[in-house]
Amino acid sequence: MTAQKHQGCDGSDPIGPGRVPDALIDAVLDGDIDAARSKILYEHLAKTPDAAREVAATERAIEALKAPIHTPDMSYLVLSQLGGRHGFTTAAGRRQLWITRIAAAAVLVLTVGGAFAVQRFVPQAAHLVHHPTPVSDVVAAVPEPATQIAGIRTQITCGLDDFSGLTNFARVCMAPKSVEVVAVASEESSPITIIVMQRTAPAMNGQVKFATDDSAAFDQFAALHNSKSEFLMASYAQSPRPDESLAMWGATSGSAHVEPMMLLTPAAAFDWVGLGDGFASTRGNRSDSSSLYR
Amino acid sequence: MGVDWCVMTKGEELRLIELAQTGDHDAASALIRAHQQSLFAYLLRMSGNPELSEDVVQDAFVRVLQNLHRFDPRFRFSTWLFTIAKRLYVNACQKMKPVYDTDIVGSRRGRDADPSTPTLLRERNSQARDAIGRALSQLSGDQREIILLFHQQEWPITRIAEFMGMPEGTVKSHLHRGRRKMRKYFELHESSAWSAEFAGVVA
Repeated sequence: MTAQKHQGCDGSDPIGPGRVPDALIDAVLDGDIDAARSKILYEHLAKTPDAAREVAATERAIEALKAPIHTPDMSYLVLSQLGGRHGFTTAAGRRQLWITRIAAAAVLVLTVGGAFAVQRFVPQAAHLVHHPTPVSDVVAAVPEPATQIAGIRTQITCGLDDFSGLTNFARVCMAPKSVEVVAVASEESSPITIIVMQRTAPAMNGQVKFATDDSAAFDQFAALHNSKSEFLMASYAQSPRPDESLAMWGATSGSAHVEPMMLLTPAAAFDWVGLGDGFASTRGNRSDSSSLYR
Repeated sequence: MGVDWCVMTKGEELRLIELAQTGDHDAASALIRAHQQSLFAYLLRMSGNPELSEDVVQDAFVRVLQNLHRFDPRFRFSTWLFTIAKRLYVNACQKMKPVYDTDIVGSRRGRDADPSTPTLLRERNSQARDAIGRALSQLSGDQREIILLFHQQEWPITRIAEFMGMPEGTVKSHLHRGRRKMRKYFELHESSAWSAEFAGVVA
C-alpha cells in the first residue's frame, strides 16, 4: 500500500492508509465539513475498502432512517376523543383558564387602583423614581436672596459649563483681582455640583464626576489640584486656604424637595443659602458642617 | 436529502393553532396531519413498537389540543408536541416495558410500498430498515434519541440540546458515540446486507 497522505479536516490530522480519523468521519456525517475536504475523504475511502464499508454502511443507515414510514391518519381518532363546542379544552382546563384570566384582571385592577389611591392620598409617595434636577436649572433657579450673602450683590444666570461666566461671577463675588474657575465636579445620580475657583489659577485644569459618598473619587478630584484639603474643605463646608476662594454650588435632592445651595467662602467664615420648601438661609461657621446637608 | 414532514410556514401553523383553539375541527385535523408522520416515525424508531407509538401519538395530540391555550407561539409547535409525546412515551414505558421489535419497524414501508417499485429494491429497503432497527436497539436511549432527532428529524444540535436539556457538547458526544456504535454493529453483523450498496456510495 502506498504511503500517500492527505490533510485532515483541521489541517493537522493526516489521513494515512487504513486509518480514517473518527473526528473526520463525524464531521462529514454532521455536515460540518466542506465539499473539498469531503472529497479528499472519499478519495481516501476509495482506496481503503474496510473503512469505506464502515462509512458507507453508516451513511446508508442514515439515509434509510429518513425513509418514509407508513403512518395511519390519526386525525379522526384524535378528534373523536375531543369535544369542540368550547374548543378542545377540557372542563377543568376551561375552569383553570377562567381562574387565571380573572386573577390577572384582579391583579391589574388592584395595581391600577392602588397606584391611583397612592397618588390621590399620599402624593409624596408617588415619586417612585427620582430624577435629579439638572444643574443648569438649579443655577437658574437661585433667586435674589442668594445674592445677599456676605454683602454680595450679584447673581449669576449662566450654566455650570460656562466657565467664563462663572469666573466673572466669582470675580464680582470675591472682589479680588483674578479668580478663575478651575474645575467643576458634578455627579450624575445626585445633582451636587462643586465649582472650585482659585484666584491664582491660570485656567481650568480638571473636571471629574463622582458620587458624593465616593471618597476615592473625591481624592482623585482633589489630587487634580494638588489640594485635597481644599476640596474636602469645600465639600464639607470648612474653611478654604486663605489664598484661595472657593465657591460651592450644588443641589441636594431630598425626599420631597430639591434644595439648591450656594456656598461662598470668605477666608474665615462662610455662608450658604438653602432654597426649597420653606426657604432657608443660614450663616455657618467652621465647625458647622452638618447644616450644609440639611 | 431533506425530510418533508411538515410543509407549512410558521405563519400558517400559527393560524391553524388559533383556529384550533376555537374548536375548529378542520384546523385541528390539518395540524395533526402535518405532524403525525414525523412524530410517529420518531416514536416508532424509539420504541420499536407500532401499537405503543400510535397510542402515544394519539394521546399526545389529544393533550396538545386540550392545552392549546397554553402554547407559547414564541416556541416551535413541533418541539412542544415532541416534548409532550416524549413524556407520555416515558410514562408508557414505565408502565408497560415494551419490547423493541426491529423487524416490525422495517415492515412498515412508506412510499416504496408502491407496487411499481421493483420487488428487489423493496426487499432491499425493507432489509435496510430492519438492519437499522437492530443497530438502533444496540444504542442507549439518549444515543438513539439524538441520532433520530438529528438524522431522521433533521433538528439542529442547538434544538436537540434544548429539547433534551443537555449541553450541546454532550449532544454531539452522544451523537458521535451512537453513530460509531452503529458503524461497528454494521461491520460485525450486517456487512452482507449492505455489501451490494458500497460500491455505489463510495464511487
